Amino acid sequence: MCGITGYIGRGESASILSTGLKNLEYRGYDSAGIALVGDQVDVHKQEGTIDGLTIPTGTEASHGIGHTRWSTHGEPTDENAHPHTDCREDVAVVHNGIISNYTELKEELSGHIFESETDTEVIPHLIEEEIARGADLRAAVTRVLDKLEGSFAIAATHVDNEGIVAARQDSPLVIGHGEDGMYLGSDVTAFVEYTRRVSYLEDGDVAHLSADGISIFNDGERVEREIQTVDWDASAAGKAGHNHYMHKEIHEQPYALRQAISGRIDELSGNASLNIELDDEFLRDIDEIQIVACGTSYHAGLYAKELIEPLIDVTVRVDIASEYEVYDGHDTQNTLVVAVTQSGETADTLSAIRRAKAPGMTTFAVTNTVGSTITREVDDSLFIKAGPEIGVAATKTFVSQVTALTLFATYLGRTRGTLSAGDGADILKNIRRLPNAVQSVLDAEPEIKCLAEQYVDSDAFFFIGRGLAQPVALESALKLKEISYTHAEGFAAGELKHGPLALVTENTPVLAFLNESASPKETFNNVKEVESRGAPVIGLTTKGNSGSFCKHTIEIPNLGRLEPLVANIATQLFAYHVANEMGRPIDKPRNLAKSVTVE
Amino acid sequence: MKAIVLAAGEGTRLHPLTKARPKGMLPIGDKPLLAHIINSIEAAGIDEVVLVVGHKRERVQSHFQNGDDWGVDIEYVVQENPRGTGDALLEAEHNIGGDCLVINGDRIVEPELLEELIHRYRSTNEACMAITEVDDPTAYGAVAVKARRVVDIQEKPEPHEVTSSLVNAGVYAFGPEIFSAIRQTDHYGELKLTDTLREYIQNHALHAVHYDGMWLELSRPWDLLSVNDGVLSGTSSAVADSASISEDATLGTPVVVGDHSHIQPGARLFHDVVIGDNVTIGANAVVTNAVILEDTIVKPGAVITDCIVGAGSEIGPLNSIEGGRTDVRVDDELYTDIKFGGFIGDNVTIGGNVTVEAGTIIGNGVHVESGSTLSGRVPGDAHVFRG
Repeated sequence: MCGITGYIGRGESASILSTGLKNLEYRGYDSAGIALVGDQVDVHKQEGTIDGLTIPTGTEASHGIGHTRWSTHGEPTDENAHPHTDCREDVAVVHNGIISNYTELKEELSGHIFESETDTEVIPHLIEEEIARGADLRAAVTRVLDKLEGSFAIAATHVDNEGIVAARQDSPLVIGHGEDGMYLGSDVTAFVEYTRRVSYLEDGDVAHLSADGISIFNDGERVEREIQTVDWDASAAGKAGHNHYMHKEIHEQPYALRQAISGRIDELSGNASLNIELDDEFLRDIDEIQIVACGTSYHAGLYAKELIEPLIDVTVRVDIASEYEVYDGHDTQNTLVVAVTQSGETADTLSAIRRAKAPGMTTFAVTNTVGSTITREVDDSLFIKAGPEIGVAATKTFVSQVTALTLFATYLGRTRGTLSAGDGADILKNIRRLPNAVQSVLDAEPEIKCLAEQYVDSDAFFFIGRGLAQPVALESALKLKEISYTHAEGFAAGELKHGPLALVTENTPVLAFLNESASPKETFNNVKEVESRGAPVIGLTTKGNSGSFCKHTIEIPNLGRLEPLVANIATQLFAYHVANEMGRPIDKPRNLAKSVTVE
Repeated sequence: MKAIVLAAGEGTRLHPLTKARPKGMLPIGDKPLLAHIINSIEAAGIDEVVLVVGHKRERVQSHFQNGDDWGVDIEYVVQENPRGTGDALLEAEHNIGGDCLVINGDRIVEPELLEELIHRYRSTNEACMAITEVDDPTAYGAVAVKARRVVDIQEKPEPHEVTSSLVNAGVYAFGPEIFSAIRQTDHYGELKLTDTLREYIQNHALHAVHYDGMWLELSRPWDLLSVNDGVLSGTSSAVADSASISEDATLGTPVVVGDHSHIQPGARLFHDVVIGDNVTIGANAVVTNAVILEDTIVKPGAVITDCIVGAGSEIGPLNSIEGGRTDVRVDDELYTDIKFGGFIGDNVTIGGNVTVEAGTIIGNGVHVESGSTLSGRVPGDAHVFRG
């Protein structure tokens, strides 16, 4: 995980690097540091957030590298913070990923002085040895790469060598081509306010950034990487008057959704226009869809399963990516494997896709990030167009993922001839109603906030729902636990009586999804079960239905099979206000980082 | 110099339009009212804007973000409860620290006025207020001017008290001393900037800067139609690239179609039509002189004339909103001979074949069954059965 930033050019390196680190903070924030290179290598690093790091001003440094860390090897301490240096403090290195053979490498480096417990620190010492043998920085890094095993993105500098040398193997790295210099980042957000012209490094690439440009090598050969223009808005990287990114992103959902569906709805033919490159013949022949994803994206996958199966004669299996295996005897010809990942860099999901590709299965990605690793690995991708999401807790991307998957399901049903134009048009109508339905729930924020304040001191929170609402119950609980650190669980409503009911007390509020498309009558029986144990119940019910008879009611606009998704907006706000009331660092929950690029 | 835009008020006179959104987010032509103000500020050479927001502020923040798309840096200051314009200004004090331009966020101002205010302020180093001439000053702050200085301010004078047709245009340039003047103002209830200025002119100069440009004011729901007509008259049509317009639809001029909207075959948008984002205009619907907010669906064959439709509503097939002139009663005040086909709130669903008579105001969340005829005022969340 972790974030890398780098800059060389005429601008003020220190301030550009620190902006980059701020922008990458969502990738990790337990320690941070920068190395500025001029006549000497000047390293500033410490445990704690980037705000706590002193960044020098007015330095003469021509270039530098920076790092924000999410610990994997070694606790968050000043010593373990990056950049790491060699014995002479000439070389500085930042690294994202894991060097799996660092123990052996460290043994080979006897005579070198190590100051940290990190796997990273072997790299500067290995570079030091190569430079001592007469190599320049690029040659040194290239030779060191041959020795490293694992997944990584690194950036290195040396006091007597011009520029920054960066390399990628399985961890993302992006180059920014600015007017006043070259930028480096773990993703585009690192430098998007300076330039939107970017090129993405590929595995095995070694890039040499200098003041007047970049040269990239792969396997010793000079290669070119296409320059693309990203349309992500730099302004979206600020909080725009909200106290937290999460709150901003919750409120952006109507905009994100309008963007997600723009140009993709053809009401006249009841179909979605998605520019899918997968062969129609293949889509007609598939008999199983396997969705692989992690965390919130996994819940989006579960929702998609509930949507797709009744509409289209296809079996849908949803796997947690790290649990995904392909067994012998599986029909690999007629299976479509769909990866759902916001960042497109999630290591568990990438590795699941590689396992699916090995026996030749067709793969597809639903992601928010154009140019991400997953888009290069799969046969075709569908972008959710949600715009950048900075808050670690995913909100708008969940809703946009489900929306994109609903469009994909419609397309699939129409292509296979199993969904009529009329039924397709009905789904699409509800998709177009989604932004306003979401806005209506946002307009009810004051009431939801009151409920959160009332129950903030509860022992635990339970979310129950059936069918389409079951994944939403899981997602709602995940949101609450990850930002408030309070115990929260989501259950299939019918499962309560098979065990979890034992947890229910007067001090465990139950949020019940009673939406019309999610078997409300049956779930209401489960509401009775918890009420008789004294638990206060907040019912999320379809607007216009005659009351929920629960202690509290939050009304959700009637939106057919998408209504439980809209109910999720209410539980996002609930989770946010519970966590806010508890004073939690909502955008940076402890121990978590946004795009998890380690397995 | 920074610009402070006061946009925290609820705009209750525009209810139900302003229940779910601040007045500044109402569409004027192809952008919200506040976007016109921010454009003028930017055109006048100021690139730092402080927006004082309150009521439904998230709508403003989601739209304007940090201001990059408008070429300005926007900082937000929250006025949690409406406690007057003076109080709003005090909330922004920490963000200013010097000279400032202050703009009421409820009407469009042209950049030339801002430039002139800045110029006068810089050449005199004394506070300035924009004034303009109106037919009926009784709804405004009437000002008396001597030797280009404001010498008296009278809030909403009775007709017999009116001595001049000049009124406060709600745009000012101040130095930092204005904040202490506000703090020293005696007040009962709301702390109004004009109360401060009335005391301020006893011993300070307040320059009057004449403004005779566009004066478009939104105070009653139907003003949204005339203000839009006024702004559109000076522009050509604006159809968003991301909108999908059927080849068989007819678009007159001037019309505005927002992002991601769909205009189906046979639909006709005649003149002075403003369509928001993600709106659907169904086949063969005919829309003339109307403002339709985001996410609304107009079903096939509906006729909509001289009408405002809120967000997320559904106008049933073959609905007839005839338009025309009428008398409207709001808050016990009678307004006569107003061109106003009707106002339909947010999240209203109307069945097929419903007739809406001129001047009807339908609250938010109303459900109307097929075949009804509506007139007068329908309160929010009502269910209208066919009688």
